[in-house]
Amino acid sequence: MPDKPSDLVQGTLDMLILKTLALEPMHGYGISVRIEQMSKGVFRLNAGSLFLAIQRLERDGLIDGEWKPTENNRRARYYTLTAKGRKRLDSETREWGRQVAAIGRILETS
Amino acid sequence: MSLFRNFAIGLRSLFRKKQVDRELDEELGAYLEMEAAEKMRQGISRKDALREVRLERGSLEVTKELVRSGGWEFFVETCWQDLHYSVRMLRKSPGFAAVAIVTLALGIGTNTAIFSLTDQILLRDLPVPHPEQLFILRSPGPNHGHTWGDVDQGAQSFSYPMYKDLRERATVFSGLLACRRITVNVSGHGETQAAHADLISGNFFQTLEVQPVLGRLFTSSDETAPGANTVAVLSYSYWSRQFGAEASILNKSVTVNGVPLTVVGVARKGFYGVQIGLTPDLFIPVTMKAQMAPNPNQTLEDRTDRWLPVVGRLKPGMTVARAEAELQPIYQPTLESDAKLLKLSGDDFKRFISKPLLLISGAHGRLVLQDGAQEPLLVLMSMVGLVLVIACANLAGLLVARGEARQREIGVRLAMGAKRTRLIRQLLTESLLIATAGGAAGVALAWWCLNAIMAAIPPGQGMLGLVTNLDFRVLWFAIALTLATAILFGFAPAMRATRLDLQSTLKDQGSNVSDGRSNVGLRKVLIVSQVALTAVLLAGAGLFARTLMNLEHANLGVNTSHVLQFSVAPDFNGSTPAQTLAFADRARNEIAALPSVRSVSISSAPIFANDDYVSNFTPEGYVPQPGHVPQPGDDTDASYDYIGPNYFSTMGIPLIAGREFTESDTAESPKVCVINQKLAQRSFAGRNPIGLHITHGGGKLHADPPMEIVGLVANSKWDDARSDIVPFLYMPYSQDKNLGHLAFYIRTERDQAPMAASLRSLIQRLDPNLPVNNLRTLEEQVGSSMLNDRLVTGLSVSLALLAALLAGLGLYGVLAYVVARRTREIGIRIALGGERADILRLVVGQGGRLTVVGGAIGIVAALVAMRWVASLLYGVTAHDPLTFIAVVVLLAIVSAMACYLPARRAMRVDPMIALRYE
Repeated sequence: MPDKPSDLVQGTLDMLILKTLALEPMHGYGISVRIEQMSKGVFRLNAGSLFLAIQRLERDGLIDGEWKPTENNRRARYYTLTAKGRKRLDSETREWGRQVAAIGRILETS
Repeated sequence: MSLFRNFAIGLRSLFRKKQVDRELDEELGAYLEMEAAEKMRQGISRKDALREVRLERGSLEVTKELVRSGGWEFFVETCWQDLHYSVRMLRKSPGFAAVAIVTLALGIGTNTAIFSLTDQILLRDLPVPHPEQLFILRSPGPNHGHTWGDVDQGAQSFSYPMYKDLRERATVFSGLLACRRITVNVSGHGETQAAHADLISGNFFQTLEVQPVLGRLFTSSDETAPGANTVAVLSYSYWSRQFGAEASILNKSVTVNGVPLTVVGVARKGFYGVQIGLTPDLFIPVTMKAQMAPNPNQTLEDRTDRWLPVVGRLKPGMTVARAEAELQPIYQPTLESDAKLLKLSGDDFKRFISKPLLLISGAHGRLVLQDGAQEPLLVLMSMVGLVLVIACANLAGLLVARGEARQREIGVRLAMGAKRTRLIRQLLTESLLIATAGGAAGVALAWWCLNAIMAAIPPGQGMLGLVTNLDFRVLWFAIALTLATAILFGFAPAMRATRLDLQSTLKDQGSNVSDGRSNVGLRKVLIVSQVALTAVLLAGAGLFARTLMNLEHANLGVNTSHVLQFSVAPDFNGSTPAQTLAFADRARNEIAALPSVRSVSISSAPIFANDDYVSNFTPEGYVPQPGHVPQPGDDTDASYDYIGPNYFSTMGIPLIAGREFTESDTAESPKVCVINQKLAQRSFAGRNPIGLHITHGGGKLHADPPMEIVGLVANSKWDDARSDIVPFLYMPYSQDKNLGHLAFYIRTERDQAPMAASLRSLIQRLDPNLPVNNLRTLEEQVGSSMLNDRLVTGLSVSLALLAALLAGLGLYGVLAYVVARRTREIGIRIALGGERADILRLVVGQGGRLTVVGGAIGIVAALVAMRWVASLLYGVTAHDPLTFIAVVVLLAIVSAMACYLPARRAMRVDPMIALRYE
C-alpha cells in the first residue's frame, strides 16, 4: 500500500486527526478528505492506518464515537473531540511548534 | 480511566465479536461508499468508481485485519488460536506428547510428594504464634543419677526441681514450660485403652499462646502439689475421636491410670504440643507424675531424676547469646548442689558442674520421632531432586528434537508469509501446554505417591499424625522449573528454526546426504548427563536394596517365626511390683495351657522395640580405679533385662552352658543371672563363667548383693537387625524389685492368627482394666524396625528405575532421529556394498558411546556421592563392587534396548527407497 503519508510518524497522524476534529465532529471519510484538502494533497491517508489511529484515540479517551445518519441516508460513525482530547491537542501543538522551530534553527545555521 | 475504557472496549470485541465485526464492516463500507460517491461526482460510473477506490485503498479485508490487530484483545485471540493449534499438533504426535507429559509428571510428582513428607516431618514450624521465639534447653555433658531421656543422650532432660529453679530465676524468658510425652491407660465404657499424654507445667498453654475451644486450659493454679491436680485437658482430635466432640464432656471425669481426672477444657484444633508427628490425646499437670508415670524409686522433687524436657519463649529482642550468658549464673549453682547430692568428687565433680546450658531452636518443636528419619528423608530428597533434573533434561531433549523435526513445517509457514514472532509464540505455546499438562499430571501423581507411602506405613508405627497434604510451595517450584525448561528449550529451537534460510530448508531433506547442521550435539550432552545421573540413582538404589536384603537376612540370634508378642503395663493402673509379679506368673501359666501354645515367656523390656536398659555390672575380681564413678561406655557396662522361665527356649536363643531360669528362681531364692557370650568374653575372658558372681552397679548409689551366673547363652540382637551385639545380662523377673511392664512371647505350633483373639480375651478376663498393646507377631515387630529401610529402598529403587526408563527413552529418541536423518546416507552405503553389520555398528556405536561416557561420569560421581549415604547402609560398603557392576550391566541393557529399534530400522533401509526419498 504505497501512499504519501508513509513518512508520517504515528504521533503526527494522531495530532492531525485531533486537529481536524477540533473544528467539527466528523466521520472517518470526512477526516481523510479534510486532511488531504488542508495539506493540499501532500498527505493521503489509507483507510487502514486511519481507522487504526481512530481506534487508538478512542480507546485512550481522546475522542468519542457515535453512530449517526449521513446526508445520503447511510449510517456512519461520527467522532467528537473530548475535553481530554482537546488538552492533548493543545500540548502536542505546542510541542510540535517547539520542535519545528528547533529543527529550523539547526537547519538554518548549517 | 482510559485504561479501563481500553479494557472495556477490548472485552466487548472479544465477547461480542460478531457485532463488533459488523460495525467495523459498516464503518469501512460507509467510508468506501463516500469515496466512491466523490468519484462519481467527478463523472465516473459507479462500478468503475468502486473498483478504483478498491485499487487505491487495498482490499477491505486487509484493512479490517489491520484495524483489528491494533487492540490488545487481538493478542488474547491469537493466543487462543495458538492453543487450539498446539492441542491439534500434540494430538497428531501422541507419542511425543505422552513421553513429555509423563516425564514432567514424574519429576514434579515425586518431588512434591517427598518434599511434602519432609516438610511435615522436619521443616514445619509449630502451629503457635511466633514459633521462632521458642528455644529448647539442653545441657550436654556427663549424666549422673537417673536419666529418662528421649533424644540427645538425655541432654534435653531436666529434673522437675531444676526446671522450677530456672523458671523462677530466669528473666530472659517470657515463659518457660516443661512437657514430657508418656503413655497412659484410659478406662471408660468397660474397657481400657492406651493413650498418649503430655505431662505439662501449668504455664504450658500460656507460653505457647494456645486457646481452648471449650472450657479452660491450665494455669499455674493447676500445678500446685504432687498428686493434687486431678484435672485434664483433651486434645481436639481425641475429643472428637473419643467423645464425638460433645460439649457435655466438660467437668466430667476420665479415669487415667486408675485416677479420675476432671476434664476442664479442650485445646484448639491442630495444636499438638511441642513434638511434631504425634498428637497427644490428653494434657495432664506435671504434678501428677507419680500417678501417670509411676516409678517407685523417684519422686517428683528428686533432683537427681532428670526426665523433663524444657522449652522457653525468649522475650522479644532477646538474643540467644545474651540469654545463654544470663542463664549460666543461674544454672551453675543449682548444678553444684546437684553434684553434692550425687556425692560427686574430683574430676567427675568438675566435669559435671561445668556443663553449659544451651538454647537450640524450638521453632520446629522437639524432633523426637524424627530422630532416625532425617537422614533417609534427606537422601530421598536428593534422589527426587536428581529425578527432576533428569526429567528436565529429557524434556529439553524432546523439545529440541521436535523443534528440528518441524523445521520444514516452519519453513513452509514462513514462506507463506507467517510472521517470525508469531511462529515463535506458537511454538512457545506448545511448550507451555506440555508443561501445564505435565504439571497437572504431576499433582495427581504426587497425591497418589503420598497416599501410597502412607499406606506403606503400618498403622501405629513410625510417624503418626502425618497427612497427605501436598506442599504447594514445592509444587510451584517444580512447575516453575519445568516451565523454565520448556521455555528455554522450546525457545532455542524455535529461534533457530525461524531464522532459517527458507530455500535451504525447503530443499534440505532432498539434497543433504547426511545430517546437516542440527542440535544433535546439544541432545547428546543431554543424554550423557541423563545417563550419568541415572547411574548415580541406580547405584544408590542398589546399595539400599542390598542393605535391606542384608537386614532381612541378618542373623538376629532369635528364632522369630511362629512367635506372638504383646505387652501390658499393670503399673499404670497402680499395680505394685508384687501384684504385677503375681499377675505375670498367673498369665504365663494360663497362656501355656491354651491349645497349640508350645511355650510362653515374659520379659520386662520388649525386644526389637528400641527399649534399652543399660547399667554397670561389676564382675567378681574387677578392680576399679580409685575414685572412679561408673559412666556409660565403661568396661562394666552391659544391657540387661528381667525375663521369665523358658525365655531362651521360647525365643530360640541357644543355651551354651548352665541352665535357664525356672519356677524355683523366686524373689526369695538366691540371686541369679544368665549372661551372653559377648559379656562372658569381655568380663571373664578364658574362664568358665558358670558359678562366678557379678554385681549390679559399681558406684556408691547401687550396692546390690552379688548374683551367681547360672547360664551362658548365645549372642542375639536386641534393638534391631542393624544393631551390634552388646554384652547382655538376664535376670529373673521374679527378682526385679520394680517389676512394672510385661512383654509376653508365645511360641505357637502353627498359624498364630486365631491365637490373637484368645490372648486378648484371656488378659481381659484376668484384669479387665489392662489394655493389651502391640499384639502382633515377632516377625512384624522386627519388620517395623526396618520401616525406614523399607521405605528408602522401595522409593529409591522405583525412582532409579524410572530414571533408567527416562534415560532409555531419551537415548532412543536421539538414535531414532539420527537414523531418520541419515537414511539417505545409509542407503548410499548399502547401495555401494556396505555390510549391514557396519550399519549396525554405526547406530549401536553411537548409542554405546553416549552410554559409556554417561555411565563413566555417573559411576565416578556415584563413588563420591555414596559416601554420604554410608551411615544408612548395612553389611555393604558404599563402594560395593557388586552393586556397581550391576549398575553397569543395567545401563548396558537399557542402552541395548534403546539401540535395538533404530538399529533394526537402519539395517532394513532399502537403498532404492532411501535414495528416492523426497
